[in-house]
Amino acid sequence: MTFRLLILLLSLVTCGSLRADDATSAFTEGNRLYEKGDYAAAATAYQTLVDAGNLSSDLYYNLGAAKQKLGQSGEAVLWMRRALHLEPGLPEAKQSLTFLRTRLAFFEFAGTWLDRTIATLPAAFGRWASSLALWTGLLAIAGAFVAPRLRPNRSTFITLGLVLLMASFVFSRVGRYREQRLSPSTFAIVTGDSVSALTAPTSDAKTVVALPPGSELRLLRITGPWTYAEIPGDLRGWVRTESVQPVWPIPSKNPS
Amino acid sequence: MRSPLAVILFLCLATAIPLRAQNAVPQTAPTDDSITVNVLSDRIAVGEIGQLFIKVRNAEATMPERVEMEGLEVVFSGQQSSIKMLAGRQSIETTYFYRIRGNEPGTFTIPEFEIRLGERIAKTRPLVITVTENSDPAAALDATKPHFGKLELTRDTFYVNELVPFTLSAYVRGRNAIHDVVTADLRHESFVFRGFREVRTEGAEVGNSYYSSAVLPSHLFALKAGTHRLGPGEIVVRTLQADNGAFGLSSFFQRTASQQLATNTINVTVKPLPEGAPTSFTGGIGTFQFTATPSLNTLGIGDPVTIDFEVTGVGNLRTMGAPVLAIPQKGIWKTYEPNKKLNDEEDSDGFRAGTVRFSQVLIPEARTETIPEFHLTFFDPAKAEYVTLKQGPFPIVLTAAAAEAPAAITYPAGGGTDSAAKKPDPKFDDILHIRAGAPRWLAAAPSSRPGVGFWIVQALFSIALGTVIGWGAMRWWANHRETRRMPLAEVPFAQAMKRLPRAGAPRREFFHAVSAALASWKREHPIAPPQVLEVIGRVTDRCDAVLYSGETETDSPVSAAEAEEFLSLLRRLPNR
Repeated sequence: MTFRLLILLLSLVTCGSLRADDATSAFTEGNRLYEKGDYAAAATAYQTLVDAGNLSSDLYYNLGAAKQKLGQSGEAVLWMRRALHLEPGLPEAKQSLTFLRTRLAFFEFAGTWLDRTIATLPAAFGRWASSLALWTGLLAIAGAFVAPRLRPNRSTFITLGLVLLMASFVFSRVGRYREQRLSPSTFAIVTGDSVSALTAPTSDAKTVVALPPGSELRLLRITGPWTYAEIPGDLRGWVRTESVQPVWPIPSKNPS
Repeated sequence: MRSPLAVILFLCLATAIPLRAQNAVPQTAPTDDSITVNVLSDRIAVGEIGQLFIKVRNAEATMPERVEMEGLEVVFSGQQSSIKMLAGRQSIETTYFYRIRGNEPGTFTIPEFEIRLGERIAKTRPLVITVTENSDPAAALDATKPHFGKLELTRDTFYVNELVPFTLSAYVRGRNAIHDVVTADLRHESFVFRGFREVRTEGAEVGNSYYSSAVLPSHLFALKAGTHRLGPGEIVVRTLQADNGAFGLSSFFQRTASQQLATNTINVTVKPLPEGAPTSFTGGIGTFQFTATPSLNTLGIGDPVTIDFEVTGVGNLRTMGAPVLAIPQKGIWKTYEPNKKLNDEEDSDGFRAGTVRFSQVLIPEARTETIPEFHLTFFDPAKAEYVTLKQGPFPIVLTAAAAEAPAAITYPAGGGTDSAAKKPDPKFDDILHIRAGAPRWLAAAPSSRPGVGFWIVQALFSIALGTVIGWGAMRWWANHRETRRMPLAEVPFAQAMKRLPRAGAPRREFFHAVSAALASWKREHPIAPPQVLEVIGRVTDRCDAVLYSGETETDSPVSAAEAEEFLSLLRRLPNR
């Protein structure tokens, strides 16, 4: 029985490593095509790995680079932002985005210093900090009432508990703000060329602003072929859904 | 033979001349013998002033001030009387003048209207007037008229907001015939006109006659696209009257008279601006150049810097807005509404270049190294395309205070600790090459969704809190049950000794227990030695002092020495 279990575990581990080896070799093949100058084939190779569900900042960055070489600047910005989502400090992606920003003059949400600070926090920060503060605060208050040894410092413990409960509330709000306003899932990138935000979801509506490829939008409502979005500079407008793509999650090729 | 022929020829001529005169003025057919109604011309151009005159003989007439009718404006403008001697009889003839003006092309009939002649009523006859549209500036030069106006535009097809020069001209027959220009007016709700500030007096040959002219240049721009009829414009000039004067002193006694002249009309086509204007388009139409100059290049966070823009060129500067930032700078640069300065003397007239100045205040809100690029987009009507000019970015130096602010623009890692001093100036002109090493595969993307660890921690904390609360509840329940089972007053001394708290417990609790223990001992030893009772009394007083005097903090912990002192005293009490 034990022997069978060992064999099963070994085969699972081997399958996992084989799968990773396959992905790595496909990635290397994509790199080889890129080096050869066959950017279209390289992009296809990378895209196949992405569609298979492989997650890697290197893969996303290389796909963005291939898209840029193919003249698809909006897509290039999108994949570099996705690479930064997986690895926020990725220097190559940051530098290439700086170059593309200068070249394309795309719109970005600047955000306040507080936004930038919150955005650097880990995704689960709000949830963890809030729950830890909540439990600690409750324990401090309960201890102050229950433990006789803490009774002389009861007021101190109750004050500490209340402060921690308030901190828990603040952390939970920070987490919620990060998730709703700063999380990559709230942003989309303009991938099409000659995209304009319109005042209404019809093709003959007036233009709010022309959106250079790579521009950042915050999706508010998707209604079929039209998407209502927030545009940097306190603007809002309707854009064609097919001309924007969310930063995260990557839309599945197979909805089923 | 010659004499009868001459008589016949004379008779024929005499008959023909009045007939011809009748043809020339066909509308001379009075309905009343004493009234004659005539017009100077039965064809007038739109806006042109015609004249209707009514002659009344040997009667005093009461004339209406205005003849009400559609399409024509017929207003009484004055009268003139003359006395004639006909066949030895005196005849008084009075001429009443009416001014006629048509504002729309068409054929209009001035209806008959009643005139009171003393005690009887007479009627005029209806007159047909044709108002023609004179939309050809060349045709306006009509040498048959003693005076006329002319409207000329440099082009009749142009864009919305495009500056178009034009002239209004007044022509009066004769040399130096125009004394001065009183007013000039050209209106249209879909156009904006610049006022007439200049008059050039000239002369011109029209037909075979010499005319004096006064030319008023100006410019306009259209607010709405479409086809519009511009004009007729109106010019009021004072003309010098041709008068021989008395004793050859005509030049000394010259008289002036006001003449109201109407110009031709012009049909213009105003085209809308093409779609797809860039976001930096600020309404300028023409050809321009611009410069941008920041007032400072060293500043700190929160310090205002003014950018002075100077836009020069031929075109509409009035509708032009200030250059705009190429990229929104929210959170990096705070911008204020730009200030515009355009003097009339420096405005473009459509031929000469003009200058408009803007100033914009910016305040840095975050650490940055440049004042960003500004764009000015205008529409060039000659090329029929939008043109974007760029200025900047302008490097700036931030002072020490600024260095503490959050960085808005970051560069690839410099590697040093003093990054502000050692930061390289990158000149990259392409994205970086691909990452060629072995990729790092991730099992899952960063997510805010809680994992197993999170729920384990929650469970541990729940257990801890439950334990604390449960322990407290059990302790409370045990005390409560003990108290119910054995009231404090009936607790034996031995039990009371067991209930004594240890050192570190609150003083109130400790001394209360000591007091209870002493009370139990006294209850169990009703006959006790007086020395012991005295000691017990002193200890009880001390307990009461702690518990009820309010001088000591009853919640403070009892010290080990104090606890030991009381415990040893209680242990030394004799037991039966």
